[in-house]
Amino acid sequence: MSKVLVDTSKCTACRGCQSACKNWNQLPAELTRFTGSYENPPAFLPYTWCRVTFNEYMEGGAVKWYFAKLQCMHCAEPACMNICPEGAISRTFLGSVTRDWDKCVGCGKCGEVCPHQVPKVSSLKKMMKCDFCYDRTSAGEPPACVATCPSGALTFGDDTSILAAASARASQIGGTVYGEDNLFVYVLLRNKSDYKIEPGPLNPGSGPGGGGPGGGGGPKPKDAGAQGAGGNEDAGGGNADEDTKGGVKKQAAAG
Amino acid sequence: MTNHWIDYKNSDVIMCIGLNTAENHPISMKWINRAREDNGCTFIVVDPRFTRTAALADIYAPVRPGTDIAFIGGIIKYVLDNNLYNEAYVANYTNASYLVDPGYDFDPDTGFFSSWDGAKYTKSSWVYQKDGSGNVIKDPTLTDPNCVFQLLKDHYARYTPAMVSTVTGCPQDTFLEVAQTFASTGTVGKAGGISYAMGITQHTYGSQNCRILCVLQLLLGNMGIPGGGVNAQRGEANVQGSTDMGMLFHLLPGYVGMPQQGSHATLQDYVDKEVTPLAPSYWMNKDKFLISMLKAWFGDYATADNEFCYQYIPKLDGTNRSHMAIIEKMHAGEVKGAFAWGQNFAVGGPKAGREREALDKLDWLVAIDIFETETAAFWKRPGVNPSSINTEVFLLPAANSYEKEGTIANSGRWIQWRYQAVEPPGQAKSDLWIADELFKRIRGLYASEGGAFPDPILEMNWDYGTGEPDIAQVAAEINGYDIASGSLFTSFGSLKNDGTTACGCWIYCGYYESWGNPACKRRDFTTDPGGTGLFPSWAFAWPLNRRIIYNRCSCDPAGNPWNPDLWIVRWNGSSWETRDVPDFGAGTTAPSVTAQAPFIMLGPERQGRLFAAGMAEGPFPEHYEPKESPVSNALNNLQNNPCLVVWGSDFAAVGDPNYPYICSTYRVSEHWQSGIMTRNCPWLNELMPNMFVEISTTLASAKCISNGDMVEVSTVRGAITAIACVTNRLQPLNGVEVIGMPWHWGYAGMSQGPSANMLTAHVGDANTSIPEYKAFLANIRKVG
Repeated sequence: MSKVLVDTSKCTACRGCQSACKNWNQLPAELTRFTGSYENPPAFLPYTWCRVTFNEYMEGGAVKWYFAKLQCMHCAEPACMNICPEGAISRTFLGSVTRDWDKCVGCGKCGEVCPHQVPKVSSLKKMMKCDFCYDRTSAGEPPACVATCPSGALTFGDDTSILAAASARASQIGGTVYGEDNLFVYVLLRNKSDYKIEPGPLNPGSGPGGGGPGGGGGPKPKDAGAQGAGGNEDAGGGNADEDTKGGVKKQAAAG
Repeated sequence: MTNHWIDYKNSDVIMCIGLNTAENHPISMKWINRAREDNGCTFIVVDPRFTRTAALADIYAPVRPGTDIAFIGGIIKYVLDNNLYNEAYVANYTNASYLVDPGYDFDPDTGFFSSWDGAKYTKSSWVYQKDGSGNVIKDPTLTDPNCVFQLLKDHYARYTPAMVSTVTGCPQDTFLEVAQTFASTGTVGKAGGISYAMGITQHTYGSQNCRILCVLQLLLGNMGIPGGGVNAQRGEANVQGSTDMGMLFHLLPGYVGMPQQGSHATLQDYVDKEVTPLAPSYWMNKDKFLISMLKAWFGDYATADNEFCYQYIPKLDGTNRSHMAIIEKMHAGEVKGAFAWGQNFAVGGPKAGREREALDKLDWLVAIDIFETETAAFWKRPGVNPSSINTEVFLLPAANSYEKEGTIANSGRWIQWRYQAVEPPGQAKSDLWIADELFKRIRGLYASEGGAFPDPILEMNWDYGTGEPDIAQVAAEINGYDIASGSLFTSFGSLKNDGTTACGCWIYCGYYESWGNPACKRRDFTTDPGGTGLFPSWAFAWPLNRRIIYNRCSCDPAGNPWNPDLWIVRWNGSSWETRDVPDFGAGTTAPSVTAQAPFIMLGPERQGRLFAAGMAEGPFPEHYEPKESPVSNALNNLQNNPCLVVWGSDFAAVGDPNYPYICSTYRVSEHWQSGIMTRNCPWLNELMPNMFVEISTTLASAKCISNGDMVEVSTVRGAITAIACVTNRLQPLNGVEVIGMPWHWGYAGMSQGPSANMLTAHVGDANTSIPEYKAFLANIRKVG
């Protein structure tokens, strides 16, 4: 099985992945507005399957800026698949989570329970999200986001090598690994919620009880600080000092 | 770049200054990230603003815009005070030991160097001492008070950590951490690279900003080595190629200087004054390059009897003909017609309001681009009545880079062939087709109707076929060939000054050396001698496929590599082994001989110049304030570079309460230059939809501005309204607030917005006239 390593410590937020996704999948652009953050669009949308979050924090008096490329995680235990009343969501031989166009009725239940707030229903009443570039990955090619990444933040490879690389990199930089059981594996320098990773389901009550990833590294949705889809800590004038946020160990400013 | 992109992986320390590499040169981070992960490279970012590049930095040092000389000067002092320089390198490979005229001096009380005549520097005291035979007097011990090394020490004695902090706003401990970290690369075997871009160059002393980086790198022995260098990252895909091809007004292709009216009246004058004095440096061959160029251009018409048509080249008359000067002449009605060819100065030019007005004065404008630019659409810009503008505008649709064939030269001097992917749409044509048709039709008019001085047009060697021109013929002409046999050259060593060789651009000689599979089309990404990252069989790097220039400096005088694990050339006791193309007479030439000329192009010294008399405003870089600055110069008593070029008087004075903040302009990843390509791409507009202005939380609080509010930013020259981005990524520096803004927007295309250059000024660098886009005074207020 293949996975993608997202090494956030190498991500420069150029957002080549975000536009490469739209390009390869021929998704129309959203009409957005600059609202005080580089991050745009501020949430997943029917035609925005990949986006980069911008997360600005003060650490010991010094500003830091963290980026994370988000998309469908292709969870080990997909809440969306479990709840879909039409059986329209399934797992491919690649391990990716996919939606059957003909079966999907656009009820949106998947979007309510996804801890990553990924599935969105289009005006055609179909759920839309990242499909792991099935047309590419099924032919052994990396997803479009990985293929375009200039900085080396994204790597496509077999699961053994990706997990080994994630573990080695995390120990090199004093970070953590998130999502080992998913197809997208992250190396992080702060808590996942600080990157807006796994904000929790939009409607936690609608899940069949425990839709979150069940793997070893998969935190429960309720662990994450719930934020609205537009929740945006970047560039906030009122950010002040975020030292207490997330509980990670902070480094000294001049470290 | 002295080095190249891949070579970043070899650095122990990388310092980006005046460069937002992650945002504006994304691929660079592939190699910087690799150096960090594989080598434990320390990544330093020096920038007024905490950028996406700074986000990945190990050390981030904030500096006030325009204070780079103070910052680097402070590092130079730190290196000298603590003996952290590479002594053998400095003594042997630089002009440190040269004695300078005792009349040379710098006076901090006045801010002037010696030899100021009230209007300019005569430079009479900026000369080396010579003995009776005309040889430069040197002191190999570097102790003579008049030697360059001691003068350098004296000059930067004022640049103490406290002074650096006062001038730049960088906290002293941060500055010292940078100084200590970067100075560590002076250790033999270590490599430190410096990369820069327009944050360094776009100042009234931009050339001196570049110079001081060179001085530091020479002291630390970082020039000519893998992982070192002074690396100019070019802001456009082929801007390297455009300067190589002589797009600057003072240069012919291949950096051959334009002849001057008067002093270069004849070809022999040019040779006597511009070529012979440079011996024994390699520039002593400049006449071969120039005459071969004239043969390429004028063919059989160029003969020894007519100075090879030397008189067909325009001569500089002392008038500034840089961008701002041309616009000012346009504004004054002296320039009647203009071509804006892939050039959108209505957005990208400084003081854009005036540049737009200048277009109103033209009789005609030809705009050649892939979309209708703001420059092409100036006559219908907001606030003007098209019926009052008499300029006739011709808009020629151009093919974009994927719709035509040809080469680009990247920052690492690699010339790479790119193939056409698709046909251009509609009536769009390649630039080559447009140039070819223009030339043929203009020549036809001269032939049929005559005109003033028709000879250079009628006698031009111009035959690239019909229809779409044969680009291989153009490439071969640039490469150079033997006129009698037509055979293509592999090296500019074959060029002659007798009219038997032709070459359009001598530094490109060898890039298109065969019709079948020329060097610029090579794509071997497996051959990498020693894992050095040189990849010599991928494309072609000028000159002569040399990947790291000045590479003799990668070895000590005896020919032993400073870093034996990463050698690119070395002496094995009887001959030179080379992984890179040597930048010196290699073969069996003894190291003691080659060590005499490690910088073969620098004539006549052939050694790195810590002291450079060629600069307009001083042989050592000295800190001056930007033309508009909120503070007085703390390092000397002269506020501005006395040699800067300026038009108009619309500037804010020091301490002007109406304009108390510094403003700086820059680019973002998502848009490119004046935005005419990217603002017509909906996917990119989605990412960066609007013009915005970045300010600190302290300035926002003082001005009651919230994130996302509409604000007006004003200067003496104009005002614009944009969305505020309130962020901790900008901080006041010694109490001075900095306003940052991208300059991508204008009134054409799909995403429109105000142009930052409505605020900038017509003032520029003393040596190059590059505009000072990076520091000027502004005010800000909330408007909605």
